[in-house]
Amino acid sequence: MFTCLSHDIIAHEVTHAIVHRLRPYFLEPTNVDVLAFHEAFSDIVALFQRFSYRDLLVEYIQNARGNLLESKMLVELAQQFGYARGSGKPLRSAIGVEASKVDLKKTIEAHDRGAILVSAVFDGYSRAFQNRIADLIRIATGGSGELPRGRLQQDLVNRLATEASQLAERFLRMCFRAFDYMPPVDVTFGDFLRALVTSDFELNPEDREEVRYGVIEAFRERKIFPTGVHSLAEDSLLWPNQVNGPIPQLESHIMDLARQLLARSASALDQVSSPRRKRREKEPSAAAGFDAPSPIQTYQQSVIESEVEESERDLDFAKDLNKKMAIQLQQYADDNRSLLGLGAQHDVACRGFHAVHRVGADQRLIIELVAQFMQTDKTRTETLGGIPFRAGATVIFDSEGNVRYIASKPMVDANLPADLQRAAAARLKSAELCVEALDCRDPTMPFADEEYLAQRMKLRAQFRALHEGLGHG
Amino acid sequence: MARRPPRGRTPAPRAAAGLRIRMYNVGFGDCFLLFVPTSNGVRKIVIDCGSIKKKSRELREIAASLIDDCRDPDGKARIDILIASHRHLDHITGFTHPDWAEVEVGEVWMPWVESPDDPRALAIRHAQNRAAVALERAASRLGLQGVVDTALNARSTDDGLKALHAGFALRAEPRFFPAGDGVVEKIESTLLPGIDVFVLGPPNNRQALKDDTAPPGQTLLTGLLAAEDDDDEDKFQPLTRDWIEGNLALEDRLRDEAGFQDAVSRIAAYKLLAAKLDAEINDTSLILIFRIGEDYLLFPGDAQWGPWELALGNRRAIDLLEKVTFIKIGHHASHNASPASLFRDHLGQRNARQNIVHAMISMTPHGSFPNIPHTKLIQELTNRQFPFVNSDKLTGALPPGFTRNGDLWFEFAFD
Repeated sequence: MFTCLSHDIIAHEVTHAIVHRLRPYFLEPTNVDVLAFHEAFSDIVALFQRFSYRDLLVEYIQNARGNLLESKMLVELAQQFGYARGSGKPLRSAIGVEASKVDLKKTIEAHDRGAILVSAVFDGYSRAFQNRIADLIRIATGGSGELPRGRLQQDLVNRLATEASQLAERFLRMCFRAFDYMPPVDVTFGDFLRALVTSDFELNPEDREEVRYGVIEAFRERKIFPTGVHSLAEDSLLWPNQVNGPIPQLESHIMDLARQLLARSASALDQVSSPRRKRREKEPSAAAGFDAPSPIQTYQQSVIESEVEESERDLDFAKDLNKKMAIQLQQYADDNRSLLGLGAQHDVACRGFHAVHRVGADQRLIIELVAQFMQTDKTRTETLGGIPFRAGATVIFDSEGNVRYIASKPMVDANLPADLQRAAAARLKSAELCVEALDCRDPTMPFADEEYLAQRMKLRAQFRALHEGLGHG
Repeated sequence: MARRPPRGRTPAPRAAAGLRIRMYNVGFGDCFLLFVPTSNGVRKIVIDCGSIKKKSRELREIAASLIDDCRDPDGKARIDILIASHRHLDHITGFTHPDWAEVEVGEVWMPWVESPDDPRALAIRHAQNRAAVALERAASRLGLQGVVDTALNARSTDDGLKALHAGFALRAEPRFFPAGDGVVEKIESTLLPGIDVFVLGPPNNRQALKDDTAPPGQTLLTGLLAAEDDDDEDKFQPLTRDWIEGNLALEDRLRDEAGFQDAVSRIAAYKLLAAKLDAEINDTSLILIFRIGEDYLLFPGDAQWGPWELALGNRRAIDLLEKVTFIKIGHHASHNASPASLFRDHLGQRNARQNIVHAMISMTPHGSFPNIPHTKLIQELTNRQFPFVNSDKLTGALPPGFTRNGDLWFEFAFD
């Protein structure tokens, strides 16, 4: 079995890398969901990638006709795909587990816990698929819903496969889009649900196909509840636009910079300046008088990110514009600390900024600016097994600089309002409990030396793949 | 549910008078002798006799002393109950001493995974033994002495086990616990009248003993097991034979960066597997609670998190743990064998001795286990004002109730 050549493995591992690039702190296990989310997201992408290949689906659907009317078909199909995930465990173990048999509280190991999230999202997909094909089945059966004996008509099979693959693509996009709406640190499964709902709401406010509704129900059945929301109603799940009073809009000098950045990232999407098109027209880009960056390069340049851990304010950016923008945003966050749920004590850093262009269901162009702010308290690093306690906020601005949404992870700070203080204290508590839970389950603890003990939470994130690959079954 | 007794008011329970718990100073291992008062005279219980690193005396000398300490006036050494908590050498090697053959043992108790005719037990032992064999072969090729030691500690070829199964002078038929599926099971023994014994582990299910199973044929070490001859084995070596045997010039070896990387990752993997195997066998430990009068003595062997997670999720087990007045600290005071939540939330919190728990730690520092004893655990015992002794500390004052016999043993008796 050449696992390195398996499509699922490649998709899974590449997704890990992408997640790490977008949210580097999702490798810091500050609650039991963090590493599990890393695994789950990679599985989700691998799975929906597979389902987006229509031709693969055609044959299976013909054979599975008996189960077509039940959600079982997709589960079985998913189980046939992908022998192994990154863990060495088959992907099939991640899906098709009945919601009632899931015990979120007791499932701690990252892959097993991640599997619960995968199954929730996949369940949402199955529900949406059944909704989508109901009319096709009625048409094909003259309204009876009873499929005739024998082979299914090929046209019907093709249409079903198309629906399944289109829906898989929709879910893939939904999950990727949700990423912009994720907090910068300390992610939970509940955050992912809120991010999914919020980002999808922006594009499809009406949810006519009840896709979001199905996903929310699947989460509810598995008892995945975001903290700090009163119900799983869509309105409650949308990220708020303030956590501690109205946040001022971006000032005009920042917006000027933002518009320049927007123009640049927009050009990456523009057909005319697309290098691929230029090649098609056999017109070397050099002839146009400049070295056109690839869309990827342009995108990367528009994403601000600092890798420098020690001096978070010392942002060394390749591009002057980005640097200016980062400095200005940092200042903005500094001025609005408490409104962002950040504390008075520690430096505030801008960890990233980028522009987003999307086309909504009603063909509107939606432009958003996404900024990530972060704050680090290193005094708790020893208690937390080698990782600092971080707070942060992902803020979504509209094209005029108004705050549309904020995903906040507040800092422990006595100056913040009581509800934010409670949320921060709860975060700290789950970080401590996470250390305790992983300590208990770590067989190397008796063998551990000082160095390992001081860094163990970091090392566990790195070694968890190794943990899983081992065993002697 | 009994109410928490007010501190300092309840008189000490009298029923345990005459109870003595003796810990032999074996170094890195366990060896305990209990003198238990019953309605039918004092009974002797031995729990474990083994060591993988001596402190001051040889194990065979200690075993001989223990046997002597068990002699009745007629000169015959008699032990009512002899218990092997689990198969690790540091708990059973002492039973290889020839003098054991003349000891009359009433009952031998072992964990259910040692049962010779339970197919599930056989499967577990077989898997663990295969892993130990493969790990030893792999690690010795790479010169990883620590891993080799751990693998050897896990091998089941030891004569100590044979002696236990043979039942000593009276050919006692060993009993295996727990027999059923319950998290808490009561052991009935005519040899301990008026005493209750509860067994909380090992769990009678595969899942709690082994948390993940890699698909068959997909494990790192399978190759080493499959390899019958040396040629085949080379395939599973990170470095070529030339490399190992020094046929390559030093600079060529240093240039073999891929070989290095591979070796490094394998070393990490072998170390991890060794730790997992060690924990897995520790988790097969008998966890016993003896009720003697109003005292509850907890002997958890070396059980780590798997069994504890089950016990801490069970009301009846928690009820017993809250009554505990004495604990043999598990696994030589490693981190995982004494879960934080057990100490913080339950241990002794409704006991008959003003919620004070006395403790004994049997250990001496061992190179493979830098985190034994776990400093935080020692700190926790101190903070909670739990009186305890550590067999490694041969000088200095002892807390009330504890005595020391030179470097041979420590003893505890409730006052």
